[in-house]
Amino acid sequence: MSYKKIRKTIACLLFVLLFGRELVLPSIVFAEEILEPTSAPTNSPPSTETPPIVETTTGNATATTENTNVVNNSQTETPGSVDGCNINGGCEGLVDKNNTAQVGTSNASTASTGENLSIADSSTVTIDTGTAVATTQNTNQLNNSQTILEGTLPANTSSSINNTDNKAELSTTNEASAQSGENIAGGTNNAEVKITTGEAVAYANVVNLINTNITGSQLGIYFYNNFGGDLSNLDLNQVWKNIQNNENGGVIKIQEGTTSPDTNLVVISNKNMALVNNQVTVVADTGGNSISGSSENALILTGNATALANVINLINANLVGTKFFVGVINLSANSLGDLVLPRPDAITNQNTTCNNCGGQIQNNNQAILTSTTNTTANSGSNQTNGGLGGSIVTGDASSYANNFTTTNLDLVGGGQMFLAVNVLGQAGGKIYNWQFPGSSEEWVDGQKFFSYIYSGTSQTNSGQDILRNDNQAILNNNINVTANTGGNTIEGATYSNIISGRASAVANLTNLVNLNIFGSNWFFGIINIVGDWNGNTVFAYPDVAVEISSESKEVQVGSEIKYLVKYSNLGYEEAGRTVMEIQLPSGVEYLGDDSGLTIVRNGNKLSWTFERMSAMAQHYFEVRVRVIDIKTASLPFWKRIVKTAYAAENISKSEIETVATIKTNGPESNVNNNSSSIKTVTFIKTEVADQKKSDAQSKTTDDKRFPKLEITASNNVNKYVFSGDIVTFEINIKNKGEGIARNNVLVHEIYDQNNQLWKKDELFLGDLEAGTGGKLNFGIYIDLPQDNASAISKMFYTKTRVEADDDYDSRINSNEALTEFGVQFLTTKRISVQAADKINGEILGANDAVCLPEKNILPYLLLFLVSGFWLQKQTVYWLNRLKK
Amino acid sequence: MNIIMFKKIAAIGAASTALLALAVPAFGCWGSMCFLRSTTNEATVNTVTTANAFTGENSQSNITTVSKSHEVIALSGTGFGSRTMTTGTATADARSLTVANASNCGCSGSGCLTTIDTNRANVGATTGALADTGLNAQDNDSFVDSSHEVITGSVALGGTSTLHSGAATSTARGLTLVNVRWSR
Repeated sequence: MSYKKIRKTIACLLFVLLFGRELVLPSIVFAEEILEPTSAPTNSPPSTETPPIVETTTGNATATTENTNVVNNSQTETPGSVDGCNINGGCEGLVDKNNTAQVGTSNASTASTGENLSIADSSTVTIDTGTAVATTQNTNQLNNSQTILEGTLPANTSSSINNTDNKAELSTTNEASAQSGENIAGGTNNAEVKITTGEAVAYANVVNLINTNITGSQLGIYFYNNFGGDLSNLDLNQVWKNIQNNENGGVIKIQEGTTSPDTNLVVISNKNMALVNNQVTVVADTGGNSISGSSENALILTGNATALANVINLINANLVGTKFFVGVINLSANSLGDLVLPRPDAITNQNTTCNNCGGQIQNNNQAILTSTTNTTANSGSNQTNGGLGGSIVTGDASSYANNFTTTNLDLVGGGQMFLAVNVLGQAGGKIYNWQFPGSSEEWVDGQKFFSYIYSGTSQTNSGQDILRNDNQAILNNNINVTANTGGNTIEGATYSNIISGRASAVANLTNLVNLNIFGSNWFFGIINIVGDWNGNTVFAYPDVAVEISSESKEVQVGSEIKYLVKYSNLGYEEAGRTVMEIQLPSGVEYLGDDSGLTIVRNGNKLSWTFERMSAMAQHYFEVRVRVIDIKTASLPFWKRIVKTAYAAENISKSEIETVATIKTNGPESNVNNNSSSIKTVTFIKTEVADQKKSDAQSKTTDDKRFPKLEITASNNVNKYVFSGDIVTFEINIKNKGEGIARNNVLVHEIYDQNNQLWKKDELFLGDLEAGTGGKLNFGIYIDLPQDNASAISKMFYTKTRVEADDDYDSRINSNEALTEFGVQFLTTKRISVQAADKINGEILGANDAVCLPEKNILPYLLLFLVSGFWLQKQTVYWLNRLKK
Repeated sequence: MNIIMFKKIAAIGAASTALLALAVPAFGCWGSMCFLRSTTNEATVNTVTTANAFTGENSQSNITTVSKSHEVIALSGTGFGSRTMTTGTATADARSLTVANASNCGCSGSGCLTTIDTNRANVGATTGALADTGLNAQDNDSFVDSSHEVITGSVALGGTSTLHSGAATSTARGLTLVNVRWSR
């Protein structure tokens, strides 16, 4: 070994030992400074030595900036309550609030593991950067006034006046930058040069809550970021319920109190002026890497880049008697199981009564809004020059820019749900229960919008409340989001390979300006899921189920049967009043159970009632019964004529069936698991001697021919029908006995979920010979009135049996066949938003997934109808760019 | 408000034309116990929403260089150094939803209602999306520099070139609803 090579080897060893693998950023490695230039390998004799390794490895970088500004927020507690749109109480006397706020805030977070430099000759050169995560979270609360109505309104309260005058000026600048790219590596005569960059995630959340006046309302603002937690479900249904129940979910707390019957006068006057400027810049960059010089192999492998900006402006909102939720959630797909959401009717069916006909609402709204939202995702613009070949493989680029603006909105007694879910990757799960309880659908693309609008209220003559809102708002937003994994360059390598990661850029801008919401519900959420997500999106409904089983397959008369009953709620929503029943067959008596619950017995029908069943709950208990008789022995006729010869005993067998059912009083996602049955063979042993004696005694009876009727029943309802529909039934009747069944009458009864008989029909069928059968189809008109505004649906079940005469003046009955079906009364109309192409300026794509019959059907605003169109100016611009 | 009216409003908004509308006050009934709602709205909204996604504009230029090659006798051949380029999908989706000067009546049934709405709206909405997986290039070139003793030679040493460009999807959707009111 030459002196030169010894120096070179020692230098490399020293370098590795000194700097190791954990270099802190920014890291600059000039290996060539300690190495003497070497000649080109093409001119050198073949060497068997392993080339030295020059390695740069960086750790992860995380930068977080959180800034919250709270100015002139106030909270007042006063006796009273809000019921729908009727305000009782408020601040007795005169309360004036004059607030002026002027705030400027500037926040920036920068996380960088990139911008490394490593140059070496005749080596293996690698740069491996860690993950960079930059977060900026900015919340500004200016001039927000909360009035909590709590307790009992004092007697003789006559009037209250609440005047608020707010002036707010806010200027925000927020930046988030995550950098793992922009690395440079190279040198001459290298065997391999490789740059591998880690993932870059940058997001900025900005919430401005300006001049908000809240009276007797619950306001929940929910921010949640999770990019590294364990896998778990996200339950927004529970968050919404907490807001409803004043538990941990809202910043406003209200307790309904007992109100005075005296009509009192409440005047709420709000005067708001807001000037808001927002500047948001988010950059995530794993690209921009370059390799130069000469090397055999060169590789640039960039990680994924994700840039998110979520900006919510809630400005000049006046909420009275309202449940209001705003949520912004950023999640890693690895940490998210199922996404559980409140079902639409849980939001819109609240506050359906608005009693304030004698009141006045005066709103003056002025808004000037200017918003620019721009997102760019790039994984391309890669370049290789020189060499013999190689490859360029770019990742997917997804860019979403959303601007949701609602300004000057007056909402009285309504409900609105809007939810945007962005999956920045592949969505492998399903969407359950959105179209209707029990429905399922696939994700079509990376974005999904769920919107639901409800407007329904009734007025009665009460209340003298006066609400005056004067709102002025000037709002400017400028949002730029960039995600880059591309822009990589390799020059001079024999083989060049570039693989760029996925680039995702998302901007969600929400402007809610000058909102006057009275006695309503509002649910607004934006959820960003980063990565490939296999969880499901579930709108929470209960799903009660029952199973009955037994280890006893054959039981002798006089013995016990132990049934194991499992009842559960498999859904994500709590079930309301639930009734479980077990129908024991004849010849079986109930002995007891270990449920600890109160049982109601009606003959052989056993029932238990639960006022509530928790979501995802399972319970077990045991029911003991005794077989006391075989009344429906099904021995064939020839066996009665020619008795089976047994050595010491004779055996008679029969089969009995026990049926368990469960029902809940609200809609559920699956009604196919609401019943379960088990069959058991019962038998009786008789001594031969006794049997002979018995045969002699019963010879006269055995000679008789008795009919035996069996029926089955089904209906054509999948899950629900609507009131006014016709349900058809199919009944199969068989005479499995040996004698004719005369004067058959089919008895068909319909019961509601409270076991009350609703309809009973009898059909005369004539005679039915032994061994024959028939099928009967008929329909029944479901002419149910909606007797309760809050009832969305009801469950019904039918009992069907056949009665007939035998030839011996006895009336016989068949078994009872059960079916069930649901009836929907829902008066709301669900709007499904679908993408549509533009044709001649018409809006397409309105798809009324469920349009429920009602004489005075609600005329909905198709607020979230989405239509596709291209603006001519932009189109020309893009075409020109493409041509270039 | 019926569907046709929505379509008209949205079509105007989609054309990015300033829309000025004045709603006619609606009077239900009068009386001391009537519910009175009086609203005056003025909205000026300008939105520009754009989304861009790029996976293209990649280039592969392979140059085979023989320099100071004194002993090259023959320089020819094909199939050396295959080049492949595969771009991912590009998805750009820009959506703009603007609702200005909207209200629901919220009043029906046995009660009476008086509403006075005055709405003025000036809305400009620009929504654009661009997805690009193209503008990729693959070039092959070979040359011999100072190769004094090359007897025969060819400058085409490049192998196969393969380019797969991913799907590009761009969607721009804009919906503008102004001066709207709905009731039962």
